[in-house]
Amino acid sequence: MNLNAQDLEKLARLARLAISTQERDETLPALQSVLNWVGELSQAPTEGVTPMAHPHDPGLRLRADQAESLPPREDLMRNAPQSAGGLFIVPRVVE
Amino acid sequence: MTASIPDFSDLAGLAKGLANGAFSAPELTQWTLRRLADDGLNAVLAVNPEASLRQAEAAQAQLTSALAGRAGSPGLGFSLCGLPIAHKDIFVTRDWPTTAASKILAGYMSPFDATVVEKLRFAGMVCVAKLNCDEFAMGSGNTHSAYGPTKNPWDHRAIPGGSSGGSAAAVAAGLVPAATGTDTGGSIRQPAAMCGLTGIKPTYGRASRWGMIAYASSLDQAGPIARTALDCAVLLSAMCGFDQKDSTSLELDAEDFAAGIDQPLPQAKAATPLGGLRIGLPKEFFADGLSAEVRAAIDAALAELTRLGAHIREVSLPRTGLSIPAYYVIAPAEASSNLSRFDGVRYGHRAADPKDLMDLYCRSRAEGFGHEVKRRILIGTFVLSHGYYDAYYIQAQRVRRLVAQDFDAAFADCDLIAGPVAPTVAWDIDAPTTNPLQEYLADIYTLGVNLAGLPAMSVPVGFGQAGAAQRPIGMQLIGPRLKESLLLKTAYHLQAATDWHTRTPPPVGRSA
Repeated sequence: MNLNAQDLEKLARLARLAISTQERDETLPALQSVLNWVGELSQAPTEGVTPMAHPHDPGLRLRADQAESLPPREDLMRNAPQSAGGLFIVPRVVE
Repeated sequence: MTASIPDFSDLAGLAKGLANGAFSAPELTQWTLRRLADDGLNAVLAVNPEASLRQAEAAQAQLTSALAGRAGSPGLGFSLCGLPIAHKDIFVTRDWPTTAASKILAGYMSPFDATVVEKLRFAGMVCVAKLNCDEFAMGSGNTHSAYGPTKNPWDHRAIPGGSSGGSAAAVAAGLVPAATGTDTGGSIRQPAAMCGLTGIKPTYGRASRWGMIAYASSLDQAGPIARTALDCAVLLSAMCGFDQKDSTSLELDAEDFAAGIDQPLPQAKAATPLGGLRIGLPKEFFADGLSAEVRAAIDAALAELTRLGAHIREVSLPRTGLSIPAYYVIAPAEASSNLSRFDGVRYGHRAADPKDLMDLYCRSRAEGFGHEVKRRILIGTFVLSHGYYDAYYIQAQRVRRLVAQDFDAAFADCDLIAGPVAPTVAWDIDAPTTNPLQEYLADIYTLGVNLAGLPAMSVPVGFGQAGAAQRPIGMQLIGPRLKESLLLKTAYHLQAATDWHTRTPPPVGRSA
């Protein structure tokens, strides 16, 4: 898999990371070498092997659907960069 | 006033001092805070003396009423009440800022305590500091912290290991007797090894991940770093246990890992307490790439284990090499998903003057995350993206199962596995890092354990030489699922017969 500058820009957008041209050009070779190397995995014979997503497979526990108390809203929101009236403020989304 | 508090004491020793009134919990806390303030290693990210002393006063009240009641618990176990602990800055804490060593979380104050933090506080431990680490626990040398690298107290030119590097450095330097760490691919075992300490990562699901800032959720586990196997056993017992708040928490009763730790194995004699123990050496762990000095130290420790009654045999973990690329697909994939929560909206850094919401996300994250974190997010985004998901991510998960099956097969022939933690001693902080692969490859002996979800620990077994300075070497012990007590017992008997765990580095702080 050969990654070009456009591919990396698309990835960065998917990952919601702003990337400068200089950063892009510096990142590209390092990322390429990692991807070439993890590409070795394709050589491993894995036919018929079930993918393992988790040490506990199969299945995770569900907890009882019970109401519990949470920290107060002011506590949960005290780290917000910008908030007002119990709401998070972001740039206008709808024109 | 506190001349009776010994430098470099283990928790067991300090617990005795508290129990017999040689010093009080507030005195011990103040003494520890003074040492932490005189760091010289950049191991400490935050202290809050007021909160620590408040906890110490509460612990002392508990101690006083307990002492008036009955004597301590039977056996070697001891009460953690009044003893200091510092937390890796990956665990969220109400009274200390939590940053994950990232700029994106600078100044973040959690509205709650992580379960592990809460459990240790319920046991009476006094939190004294938050400790440096690699940003979001991504790294093997503590050089990826946004707040600067931590120095190894054995040799200030060297890394302390990572990602729990601040934890290991602080304990090794005697700033604090024990610390918490987290281990996603070796991040407890490798820094413990490189700082000459004992550290254990339990079976996946033993310790709650609630409040542990997530890196790779199917791999992350919490554990202690301390001076001795006994200290680790007592700490681990307090840290583990079922937690409703973590959907991957194992529904097991709390276990006392220190109970009977000093007793010989069943059917073994006192002189050879490990009699009958079958220790497997994976031949892939002793192949090319392992440095001669690490090899020699491991061989000497294995000879000691043999004298204690263990039988050594060769086993094979044929997918050891493949475990590295499998890990470096799975962990970044999970990281890219986990770290999507840092969006500059609800908490954390927000870029100035965003022109729209997309610009706010992209610039806040680009400004807040460091290079290694961004690199892993990009790799993770790639392997999860349309067209590459099956070839990379699903294939890595298939290899993951093979790695886990290799361990199962090896444990058919042995009770536990031993080998090196890392191929070399700690490298230099300023070693050139143009290629991230170099750092990734050094994790070869530790990653498989996380992929399989097994318990494993690091025990100090010697030193390598770097110029005039010594750099510690650790031996790894890997157990089958839920066999932490066997690992700890083996380490305990090794430490009863050797003195590597009692060695201390030159003093830091005042003289540094």
